Amino acid sequence: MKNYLKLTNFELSRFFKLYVVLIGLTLVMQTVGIIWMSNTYMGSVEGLLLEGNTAELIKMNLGTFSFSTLTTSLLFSGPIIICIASLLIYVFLIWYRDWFGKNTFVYRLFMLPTARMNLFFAKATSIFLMVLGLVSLQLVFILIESQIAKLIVPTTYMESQNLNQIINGFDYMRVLYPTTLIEFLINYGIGFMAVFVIFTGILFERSFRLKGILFGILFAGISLFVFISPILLQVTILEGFFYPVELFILMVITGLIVIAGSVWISNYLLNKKIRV
Amino acid sequence: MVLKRFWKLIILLIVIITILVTYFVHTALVIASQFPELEIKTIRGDETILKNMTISGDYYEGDQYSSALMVSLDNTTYYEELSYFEKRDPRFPPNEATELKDKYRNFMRGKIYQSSSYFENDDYLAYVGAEVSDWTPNFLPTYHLEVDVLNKESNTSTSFQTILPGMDEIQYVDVLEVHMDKKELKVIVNVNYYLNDQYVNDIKVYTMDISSEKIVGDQTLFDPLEQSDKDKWSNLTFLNDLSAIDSTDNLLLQKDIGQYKEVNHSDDYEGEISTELMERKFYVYDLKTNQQQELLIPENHYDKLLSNEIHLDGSVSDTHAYITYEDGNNLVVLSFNLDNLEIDTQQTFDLKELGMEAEDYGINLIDDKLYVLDNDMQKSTKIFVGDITNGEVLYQGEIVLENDEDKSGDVSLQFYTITKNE
Repeated sequence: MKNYLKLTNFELSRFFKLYVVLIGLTLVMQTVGIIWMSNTYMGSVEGLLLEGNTAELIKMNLGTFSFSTLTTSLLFSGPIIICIASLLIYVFLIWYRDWFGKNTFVYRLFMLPTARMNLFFAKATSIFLMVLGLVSLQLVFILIESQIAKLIVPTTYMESQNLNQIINGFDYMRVLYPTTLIEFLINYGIGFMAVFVIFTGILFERSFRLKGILFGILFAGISLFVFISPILLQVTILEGFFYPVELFILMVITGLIVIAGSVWISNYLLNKKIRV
Repeated sequence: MVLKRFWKLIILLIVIITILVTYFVHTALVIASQFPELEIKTIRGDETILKNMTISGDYYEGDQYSSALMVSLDNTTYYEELSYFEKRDPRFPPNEATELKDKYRNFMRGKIYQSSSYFENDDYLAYVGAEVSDWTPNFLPTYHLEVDVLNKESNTSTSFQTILPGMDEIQYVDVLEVHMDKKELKVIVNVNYYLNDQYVNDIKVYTMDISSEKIVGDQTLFDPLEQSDKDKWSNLTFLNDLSAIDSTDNLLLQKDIGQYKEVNHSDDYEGEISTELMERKFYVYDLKTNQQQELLIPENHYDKLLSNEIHLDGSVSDTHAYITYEDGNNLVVLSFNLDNLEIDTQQTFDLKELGMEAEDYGINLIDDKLYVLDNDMQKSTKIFVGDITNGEVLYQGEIVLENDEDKSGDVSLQFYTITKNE
């Protein structure tokens, strides 16, 4: 356990500087975005006021200032996309840097007096924590940014929105921030199952090189097939036989099968087949 | 020591847990208070008449939220407030068919939850669903009927599929009613297709023999050639309640016949074709005797029935057929005795006097009672219940927000139907 924690902390530390940069980039770009947009809006308001329009008339023509002006802009979604892309790339890099870094670092890692699976779980956990970290911090950033908007735009022109309304006004954020815990577990559970499957694919490649890529893709295909097999059955031969709750339970089971298969194969590859 | 060594891990964990827990608590609280409680306020009469009744509709608050909802005497249920699993249920509000799935879990697997597809008595539960099995090369659906009959006593079911005999190139099929008498199953189907380039909507009665799993009778209620006439048009409307599992032996049908007229209002609208309604008839079809008879409508009602488009409604029981229409401020209910097909009673409800001044109404006839909801999008919805046998107003009430001052002015409610919980 201690070895696992040490390794997790170690993996986090290796990406931490870049991680802080990603967080900073998100905060800065989004803050610049909200300041710029609030100011542009207030600029138009003031222009219209000078022309002698009343606040009511301006609100009717210009609309009230809503936080979704920011959330639908590239200044808001840009850093989110950069973060997602970076972490996706890092899912691969977290393994390959050990091989292609200085002095084949992986050699030393494998010589550590601990189960090699700890390495696998430590890497998975750090990805897991970094994703959740960004997702949670984004919530705090939204709150900060909406406060900034309130400082610039007077309440008369401000559309009052709570956090839930802000997230509602933005489609893909509902996937990241579902309203119920069960949906959160479903969305992120599927995400982390995918991370496990990709890790196994990487280990296939690291074990068998070129041929391993094929094995990896095949493994991912089989995993996907196993995971969605209840749905495939439901829409083809069984024609709506399962009730929604049953389908859910079946998919939890197939999801666990995929994770177990991935862990089992990875364990085998790490201990028996891996090449350095 | 440990803290110093693992500080990154610890900080990240604390950040994640604190924020996500706060987020889910906040969201749960927001969602719990998102929608107001509604209550049915009695203006006159005894509210117990609404016991076991569910009123369903939609709630809107500005352009922020909306949700389907149902209201009964005791509580308000919003679709958006249901749990993740409750939301996976096939219908909201639940209908009689979805309620069957709790009782007959295995039988109900893979079925369409449309109440008109079911029949239930003490011995049998029958289902007939129109399903698309394939698509033809010219993109028309190939329909078949999926039949499943459960014998409640032996808990065994007979299921089979059958094509719609003598029908090809169908556009759309809908099961209007299923009825079972001993071993004979009657299925009333609406079939839409093109005949001589005219869109025809045909009502058919198929008789099926359960033991031989075959269609033994095929009857068309109205000659489809009538609808394919190019100068005239005709339209059939099925007036039995589609949202409930009917137990009556009778069908109530409305047939409209009209003609196309070319109008030349101005040069801009040259050659525009308008339709003019010429005839409106009502028929009762007895499923036991396979006989169809026309209701006898007196002259003084006929013209009003002809000019009523929106507020025309009907329902049928074993002994009576009811037709409602709006006449100025009045809602008129004609009750026809099925023995002689003549009107035996006629009731008039003064809507203005009852405080109903909406543009549109939801009219529901259930067990000799008339339930009317005003359908305007307002902060409250008026409701009244009348007895159609004697014209008495049994109940008058209003669905209102429990704490009105909680919400700003942009709340609107729209209720459509009242259903009886079995």
